[in-house]
Amino acid sequence: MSSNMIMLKSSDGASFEIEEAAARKSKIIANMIEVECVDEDKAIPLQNVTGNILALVIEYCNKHIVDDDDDVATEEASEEEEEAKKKKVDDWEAEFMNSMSLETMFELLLAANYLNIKSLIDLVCQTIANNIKDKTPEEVRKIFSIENDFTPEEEEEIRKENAWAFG
Amino acid sequence: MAHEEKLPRELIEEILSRVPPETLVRFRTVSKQWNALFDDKTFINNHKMTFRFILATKSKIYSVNIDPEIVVRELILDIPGLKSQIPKLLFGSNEFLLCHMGEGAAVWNPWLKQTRWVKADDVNQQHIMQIDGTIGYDNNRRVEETVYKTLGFCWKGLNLTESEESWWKIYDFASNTWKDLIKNTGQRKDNYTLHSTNGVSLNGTLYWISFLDMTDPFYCLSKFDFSRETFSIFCALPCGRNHRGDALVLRVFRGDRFSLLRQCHVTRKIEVWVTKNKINHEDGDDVGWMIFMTLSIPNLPRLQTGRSYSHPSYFIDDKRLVICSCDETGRAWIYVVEENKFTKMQIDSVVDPWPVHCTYSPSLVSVPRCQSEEAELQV
Repeated sequence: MSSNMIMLKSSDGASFEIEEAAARKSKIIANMIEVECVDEDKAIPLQNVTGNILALVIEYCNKHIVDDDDDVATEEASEEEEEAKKKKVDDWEAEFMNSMSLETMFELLLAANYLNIKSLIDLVCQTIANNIKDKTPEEVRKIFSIENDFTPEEEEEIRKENAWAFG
Repeated sequence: MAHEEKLPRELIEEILSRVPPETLVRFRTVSKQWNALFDDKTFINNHKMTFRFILATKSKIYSVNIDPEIVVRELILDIPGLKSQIPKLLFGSNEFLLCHMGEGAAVWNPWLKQTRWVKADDVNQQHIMQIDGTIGYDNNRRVEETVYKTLGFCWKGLNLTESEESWWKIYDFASNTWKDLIKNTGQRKDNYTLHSTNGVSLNGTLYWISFLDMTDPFYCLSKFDFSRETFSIFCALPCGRNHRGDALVLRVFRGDRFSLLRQCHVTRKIEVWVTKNKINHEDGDDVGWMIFMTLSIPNLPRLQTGRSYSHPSYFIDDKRLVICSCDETGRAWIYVVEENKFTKMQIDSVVDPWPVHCTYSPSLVSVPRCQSEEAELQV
């Protein structure tokens, strides 16, 4: 495993050191490393990610790079071991997302999207989905800052057609 | 507290594709954009809980998704008071499934876990009734006034072929009633035979493959129009069948056209035709067919198999043809044909042989209720 360290710099000027293998979880950074020959002494500037969010992203990448290495090491792991390991990752992810506010989740999702980290996008989207599924349409509008563009009559019509769902 | 910055549309769609379908129905009232999104087939097909086929064995019902990999989930049909909850036949309509259950049919939206029981009329010694394939509506009415309807076929005596009298009935979902079609118009005056009761519903009108004589070189499409309540011949098909084992299956293609899949029992060559233009139910003379795909490679499996030659189910998206069919031993397979590449995957979690199957694309359209139920809900 390469133990090369690279530097990332957040939009508010905070610098983070991260293993190259972990940083490669981000397709964007991996691409930068491939084609742009990142200068080892120079931090990669990430204009769209603040320090507190970047810290979360790095925490996630660090955790998952270890897991990926495990995959290689225990190629012949039994099904039970596989399951136990998956549960460990699931537990860690649940803990990681737990107590995070919706505001933070949105910022983390935007960062994961900007950095192109597919598994983190999946995780945050699923957590937000679980979080909003029992909310009312009004609450959902507030959460996403969506304007209600229905007339009361139109809204009533949809409720009538789907009365069972609003019961 | 409101967000100063909304998420971009594609991320909102990513989130919503993980929200359970029942909840999405409630979220229709969030905004016009969300309401339209939930009717968008691309969104539905990308939803994490979507599926493309339904299979039913003697004991279980399954949904099968194929993208990005095969995912089989068990479905529960729950009709109160019914002994067997396993359908004998499955028909995928546009929004709902019609499940034949002996004394009637279950109209089912398996994604929303909604059902409605349609009891066959006069289940007694007088005549036998079979609820026919598909659900349609009178397309001369305005969309908001859509009243779903389906057909039942009745005959006297135990055996249809020996029966002296047979006729059709129409079921009206709003009033929950059956009515006889006047026998002169109800029974087709011609002697066309329906190739299979597996009809296709397009914009409210029902269509079936039919023929005068099984050896006709070209079969045709019959239709039933709910606004006129009549059967008629709609258009010619580009082929017929030479053998009872030739597969010939009609489907709606790209929302407003037809596709026709044929496989020759002997050569196993697969041909798919599509109509050149969108279908106008008033004008069958205008229908032209063109070849969409032909596949002739060694060792293609037979799609129409078993003693009763059960039909394959299929759908086409973009350039890809996806088929669900049983092999000669009754095991279910998914076949994918894309740019002359043929791949097959066994659905091995469906254990019992010879499942019935149909294509079904989930929808968020509520199962139509009858007026009395609606009145109750308004209170």
